[in-house]
Amino acid sequence: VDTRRTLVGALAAPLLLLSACGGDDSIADPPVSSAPTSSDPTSPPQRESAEHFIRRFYAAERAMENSGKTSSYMAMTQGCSSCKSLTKQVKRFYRDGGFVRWAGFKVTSISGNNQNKPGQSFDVAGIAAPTTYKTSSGGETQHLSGGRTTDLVTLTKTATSWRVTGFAKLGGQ
Amino acid sequence: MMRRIVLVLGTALSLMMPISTAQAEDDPCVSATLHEASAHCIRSGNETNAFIAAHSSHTFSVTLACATDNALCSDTPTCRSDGEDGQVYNVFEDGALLDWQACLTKQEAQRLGGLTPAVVERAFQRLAWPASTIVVQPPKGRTLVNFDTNFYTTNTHRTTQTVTLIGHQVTIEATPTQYIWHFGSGSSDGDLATTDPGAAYPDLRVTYRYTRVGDVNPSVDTTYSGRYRVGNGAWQTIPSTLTVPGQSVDLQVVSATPHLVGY
Repeated sequence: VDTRRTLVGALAAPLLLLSACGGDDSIADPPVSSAPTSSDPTSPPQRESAEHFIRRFYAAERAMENSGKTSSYMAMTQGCSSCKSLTKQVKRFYRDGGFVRWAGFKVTSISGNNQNKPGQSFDVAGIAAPTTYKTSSGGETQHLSGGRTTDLVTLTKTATSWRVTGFAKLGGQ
Repeated sequence: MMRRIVLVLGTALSLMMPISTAQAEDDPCVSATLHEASAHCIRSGNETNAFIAAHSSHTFSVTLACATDNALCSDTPTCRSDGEDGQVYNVFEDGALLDWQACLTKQEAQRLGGLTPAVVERAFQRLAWPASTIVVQPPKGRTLVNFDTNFYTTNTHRTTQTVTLIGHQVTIEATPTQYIWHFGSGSSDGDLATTDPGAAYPDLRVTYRYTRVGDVNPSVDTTYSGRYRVGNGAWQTIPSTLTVPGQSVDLQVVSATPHLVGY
């Protein structure tokens, strides 16, 4: 499996393959991109790279889950069904007196993986912090253990930035 | 373990996915985040094959997973599976849609119940084909009782549509081969099946004589025969036919009163 992964990486030279190393499990990764970017992943630069946007998206997701405030997060999406589903769920948690505590997702690599339409879809690998949440004030505290995982994030371009149009978990990650 | 991509995939199914860490250890779809728990999981071809091998007593099939949740996709999403370009498929176990999807190459999809004549046949049945418009003579919605009213349709040409099925460009062609004329006289006894589309006056090839005055709504259904080809391959016949109902028109059957206009 590792050999195949290495081979894939070698063959995917034209593709984006960006890595960040080490550090704690917080999501405050600096953007890694040759495109003009801001050093702050929570705010968009003038013309934002897809990679910067993805990091900003995960940061927004963390903020959204920890606050229950979904508007900024949803503004970064367009027709993303799972994003809508997530925000509905989080809103409901907070409305019913529950909460989410999540230290976020540390992005370790972003790889554009569609050679025919480069730059639109990305495997985003990283380490998810554990999630603790209650669905209501009287509910039991529940946990997601987090860990290494890879998501598939599909973007559409806007004039100056991007929007998330699709999100899926990749199996076996 | 693999690489692949995707699209807009969330559906009501995702709303039903439980948030749980108590999933089997060998399940490649264990969610690490709340968002993952709300989203689809996409398995690689190898993972899909492993699942199928573990459920060998069941029947599996796949269809392309389009935003429209339709097997007929003109804009098919692509992905990377085990280092190869693939596409995202819905997976069915004994006909039931599973709550995960698969990134498969064309070859993998074919092995898993991909493009078969039955798939094309279903596509042929599901696609929209032209309905025939019935033309009545005399015109203007009136005809005479006990008089040969002429009917015809101009829908005589073959129609082709190109769709993507299981990752393949498939051209499906439908040719009108039979017309079923409903003259609207209140009984199906008066219906007539022909291979002839009729013709405009004076060629009276499809006619009907109404024996009573009143309002009727004639129409003509069209039965299509189909064939298809994959890419630029050879044409292959689709065994079944498809009948498309025609839109009825208003027709008034009136009696003629003789008037002496000269002597």
